[in-house]
Amino acid sequence: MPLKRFYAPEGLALPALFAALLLAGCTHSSSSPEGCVERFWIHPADALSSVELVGSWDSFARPGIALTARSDGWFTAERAVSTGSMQYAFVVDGRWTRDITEPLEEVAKGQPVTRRNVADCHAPQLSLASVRVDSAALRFGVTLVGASDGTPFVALDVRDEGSGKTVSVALDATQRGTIDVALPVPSAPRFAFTVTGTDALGRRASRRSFAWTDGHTDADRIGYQVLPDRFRGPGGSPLSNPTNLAMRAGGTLSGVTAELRRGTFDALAVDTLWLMPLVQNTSNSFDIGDGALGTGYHGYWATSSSQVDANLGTEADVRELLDVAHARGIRVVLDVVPNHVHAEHPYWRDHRADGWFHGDPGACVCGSVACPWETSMERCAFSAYLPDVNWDEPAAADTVTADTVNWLERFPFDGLRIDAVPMMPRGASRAIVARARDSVAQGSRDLLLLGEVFTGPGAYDKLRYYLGPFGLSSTFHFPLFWALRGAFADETGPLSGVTDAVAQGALAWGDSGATLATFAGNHDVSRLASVAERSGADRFALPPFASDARTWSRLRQTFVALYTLPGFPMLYQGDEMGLPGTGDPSSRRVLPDRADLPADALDLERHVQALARLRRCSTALRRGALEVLHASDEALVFGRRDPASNEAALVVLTRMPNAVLHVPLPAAYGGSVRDVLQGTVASLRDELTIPSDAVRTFAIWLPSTSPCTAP
Amino acid sequence: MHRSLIRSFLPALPFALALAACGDSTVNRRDDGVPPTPPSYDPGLGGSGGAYGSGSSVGNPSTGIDAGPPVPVCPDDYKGCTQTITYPYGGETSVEVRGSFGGDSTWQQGVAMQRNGSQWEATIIVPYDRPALMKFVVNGTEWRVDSTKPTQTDASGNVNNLLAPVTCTTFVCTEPAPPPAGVFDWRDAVIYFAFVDRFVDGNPANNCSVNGVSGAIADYQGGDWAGIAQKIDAGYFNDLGVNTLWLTVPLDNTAERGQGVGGDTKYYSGYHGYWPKVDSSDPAALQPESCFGTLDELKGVVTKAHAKGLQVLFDYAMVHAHQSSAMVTQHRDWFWPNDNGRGGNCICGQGCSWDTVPDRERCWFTDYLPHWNYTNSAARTYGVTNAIEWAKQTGIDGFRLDAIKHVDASWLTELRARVQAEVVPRQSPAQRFYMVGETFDFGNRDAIRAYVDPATKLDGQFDFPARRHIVEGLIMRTMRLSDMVAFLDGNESFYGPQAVMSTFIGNHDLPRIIHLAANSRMWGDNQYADGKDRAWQSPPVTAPAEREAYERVANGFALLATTKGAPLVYYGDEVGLAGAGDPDNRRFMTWSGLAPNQAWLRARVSKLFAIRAAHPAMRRGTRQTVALGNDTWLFRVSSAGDNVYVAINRGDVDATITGLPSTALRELVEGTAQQSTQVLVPARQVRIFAAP
Repeated sequence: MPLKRFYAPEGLALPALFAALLLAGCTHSSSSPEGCVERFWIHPADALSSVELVGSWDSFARPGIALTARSDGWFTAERAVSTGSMQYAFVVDGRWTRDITEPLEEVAKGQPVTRRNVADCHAPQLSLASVRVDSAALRFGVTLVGASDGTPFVALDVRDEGSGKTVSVALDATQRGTIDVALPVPSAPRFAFTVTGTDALGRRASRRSFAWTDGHTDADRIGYQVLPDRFRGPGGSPLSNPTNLAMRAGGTLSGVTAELRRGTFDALAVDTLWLMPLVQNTSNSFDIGDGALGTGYHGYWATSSSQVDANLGTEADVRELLDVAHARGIRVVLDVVPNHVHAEHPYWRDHRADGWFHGDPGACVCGSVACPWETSMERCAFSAYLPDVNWDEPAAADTVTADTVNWLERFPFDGLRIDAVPMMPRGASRAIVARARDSVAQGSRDLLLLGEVFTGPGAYDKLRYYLGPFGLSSTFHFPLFWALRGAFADETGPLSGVTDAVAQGALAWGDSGATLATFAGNHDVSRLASVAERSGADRFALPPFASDARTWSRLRQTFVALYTLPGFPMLYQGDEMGLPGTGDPSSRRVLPDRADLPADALDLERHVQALARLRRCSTALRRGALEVLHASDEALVFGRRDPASNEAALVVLTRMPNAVLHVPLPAAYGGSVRDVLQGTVASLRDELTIPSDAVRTFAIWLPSTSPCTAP
Repeated sequence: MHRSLIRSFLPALPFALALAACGDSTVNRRDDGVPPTPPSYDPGLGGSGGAYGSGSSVGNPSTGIDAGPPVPVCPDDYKGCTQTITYPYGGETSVEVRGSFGGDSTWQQGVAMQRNGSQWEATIIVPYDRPALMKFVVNGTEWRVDSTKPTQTDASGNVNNLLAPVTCTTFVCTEPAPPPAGVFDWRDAVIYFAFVDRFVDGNPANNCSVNGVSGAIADYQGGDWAGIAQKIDAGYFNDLGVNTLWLTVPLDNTAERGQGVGGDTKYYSGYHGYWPKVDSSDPAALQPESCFGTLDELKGVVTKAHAKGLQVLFDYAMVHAHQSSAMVTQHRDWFWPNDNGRGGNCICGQGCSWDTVPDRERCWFTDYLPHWNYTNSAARTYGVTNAIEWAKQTGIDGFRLDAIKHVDASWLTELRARVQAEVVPRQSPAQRFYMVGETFDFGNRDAIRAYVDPATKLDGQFDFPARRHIVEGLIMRTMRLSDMVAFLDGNESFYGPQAVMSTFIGNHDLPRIIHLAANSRMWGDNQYADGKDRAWQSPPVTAPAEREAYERVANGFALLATTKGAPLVYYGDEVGLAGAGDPDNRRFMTWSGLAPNQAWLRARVSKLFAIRAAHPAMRRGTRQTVALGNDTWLFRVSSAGDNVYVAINRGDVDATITGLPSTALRELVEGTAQQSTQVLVPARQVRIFAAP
């Protein structure tokens, strides 16, 4: 329900009767001399439960505060609290229970508790909602709540953070609920703004947010993953692989900016760039297994929480990259690593003994006998030199959360890619999500909070766990990743596994509203091309480009699926060229000089660019519902239909059918159609026939009348 | 856009003004007295994502592919860690480490230590994450502590070495050992509450009637101990698969009528046994209920039951005595006054509280039932002695203790001590004397657990919270199945490893289960109150006609039969006997003219308990969920050498359940072979699988 709001006019003398009414009406309410009164609600599964409220205000003393049971099954209690932050839990039939209506999950006294931030009721408050852009206006809702002394708001201003200009919004004192504000559509692709309300005593309340004016939703995103040290050198110059592949290669932020200016990402229809961590990393070398040494070229070995890695560039370079990207309609998402720090980080030096970390990382390396993955995931360390943050320690959790969100406050990034989400309690990613939205993007739907929840095949419930209204806005679709590789790259799985993974995923987390990031490769696994080529597994080798023509067909097929399925595709740098790589660090070799690419690689790049442009053009391929028409071991036929635009696309993929297939077609896919990739035309009726010799074929059929038939 | 603040605001409605001004202090948490909207998105528990792979480099998943059958989870209470104990060598010829680490038995016989250079060494198993005591027996006779290790001095001044709690990732998992062959293991118990007055009238000559009661359902109806004996002889209980009888309180009850408890204005007789008339000043002079027969007949019931392999529990009422009792008149100080000391009476729910201490241990259920004061040692000795004498003179195997939370704890601990000292030694063979209590509370498990401690108090209690979850999750289906399963998983070890709780879906204080299983339920979800409302006003004429109701009840029994705890069958529930709340839920047992649905249910209950009897895993194994859907649940129970899979479909459509092992199995309910990892479980049915 909308929040009611009230502001009395300046200097209005209330008749005594009204004043008395005011007082009487407020006895249950939220102001008190000492602090602000907070109300707590719980609806236990059974109204007969015994329920008490315990909290940090008295060190969780039990028995806690008794709650009043209501006839509708809710239990409620209120308590005066000091401004700031507190922890509490409901004890239901002796079991500690978090407040499921609140996002922040923590642990205290070894028990699950909720953290709630308490706004200062003695100060005015302001919140933003539903920031959106349509063809006519930039719109958002503002809710004003006056301070508890009843002082009214007298001014409401919106400041454009790009130009510094401010506009004032008229306040109508008779208005109740959320104020709907409409501003002319800004000319910049990305509009960042601050809304400030001022009350009659001159006290202010402010909120920041931003919106993209192109109207893209998450489903419209097309992504690209950049490992800056391995992308391009100063001015966009090509890099060479270091002799030791796990040392720095010399890539810089200016290299990324140069490729932005060159239009490299535009050719791939990219609107979302994932930059792997930019934070200062160690320059020393550490054991990476198999007798090899490596350094922090990848960004995951932070020695600072705020500094930009000098090897990559300066803060000014970050701002320039963001400006250039934003001007081209490209959002930039920053990789952050809240799970651990490097042993050279001052936090480890200063806090190794006070509970910020899960002890000596060498004593509990993930996957060791002492700390198996299954039982130690949240407390084990990736390696002996990467201390693992203890998110159950409030001081550590608060500091790392603030550090992480501070990157969004200092730079206009468009989101975060959060590393190693399941290595932390869920409360960690939730705390970052909540603070990020609160701080820079209240009410905005354009802040991408993309978590890395690395799973094996089929772990749908695992992903669901981190999504939802309090959770990440998206995660990587690992089950689909494994299915894509099985179907098209190593050809060990059924083609039906691909659409099964999409359907199972939709079933598992569909009600979260999240659109997941789909991908066929990343920096942690063997390169797609090397899986398709059946290269070896020597992770320090630099295998050559594929020589087997079948490999290139497999790659083309994989990308057809990736760019036509639901979700938003995230391409790992170099995969569009069929760059080989057999694990870490081989899969992180430098992006080759385009002049050195073999013809097959350039062909593949053109194929991926065509697919990306097609997806950017076709609403059906981005937003359409998936309709599986045939799914078997060796063939896959599916449609995408967008009811809003009435657009349809039909996708056919085969491996080795060995028998003629007859696939009945709904009318929406029939008529005069064009195979966008091969340029052939056909008239489809109520059935699609796939010949038995259709080995590794693909087709994307659009109506001949579609504007997207010549991408 | 220009600023246009309106300065001439005049409040037209003071009410709106006051409303709006209240709670304007926060944005997010404005207190308008309306509960928050709970998120409709339930993120679940996350399941397994396998090894997290940021560090892995190879393009293959490290988990997620058929990993074989899951390893059973071991409750912490059953876990032990190996630990090496040392003792400095000082010329001893032998050293043995003894202590509490393995329970009482390792005080009697410990582990011999081996000499290794300058010290003695032994490897022992210590409890997981719990402290233990130890001491060293030197040269076979002399008890010593190792002064270099931590010590603890107990209340009697004995000094022992203290083993601090340890945890370990590799542990041994030891279930409590079964008793010796021939001794009954109470984990195997299946209890049947034979409500004596309503079961079988074996001897019309002892029938009673009380004047002025509100109807036949409130009067004695003729059932007696002779009737119980008939059914024992006829093998009814053996055929049904129960092995323990709970019989009505045998104490003589008042012949006066009385109004019900808690505002119930109807008049009742003492047919139920809970209004004892305690007249004899000698607690060993037993006063049996004359309406049920003679003491010899009662002893005969116990003898006949034992001959059929049945254990016998007496219900025992020790909270209060009827006001007409001679002991009440002669020993006013043995009973709490009906006076709360605050200017009011001490009727439960009126001047005194049902629930809080000390009120609940003093309050009168109604104004003619004085509450025993067991803080008076003479009263306590009388009461405990009487219970002990019933046990000794009749040879029963345990008690069902009514309303235990209303009794001073000293009565219970004294009873347990005297049972161990006076009753157990008389048994042949000696076995655990099972005492199961009733604490009528569907929510507060801590309150129930407070009375459970097999060494000093109760062996177990009736598991009301589990009943609530099973009935709501499986039978009424108003609770999400996953919530029920999560509760039951956490409940399994809640009462401690030695407890034997009694699981149930029906008893004499709740409306008959068959109505809660009906397609259209007569009552809602409130398991305390509902049913009473129609006990007198338009009670159900018959049980539901539809087969579905019987199948749902059978599913409830199936869950009791396939998991830990001692299942209780309330007489008549095995045939879906009809009835609203007390007293309508105590209709006379139906022995003939069973409808097909009733006969089916009885046969199914019998079949389920027969399967339980054949599989120790179902009686004491560890349960692990294999697959859980909205309406389907596949779980495995495992104990040493026995694995049983149970597939339950609570839904109203047939369901395919996947997750059985690929080895050949036999389905035990229908008696068919099972080869596939999938099984079609028809609506409202259970299928149980074990190795052929």
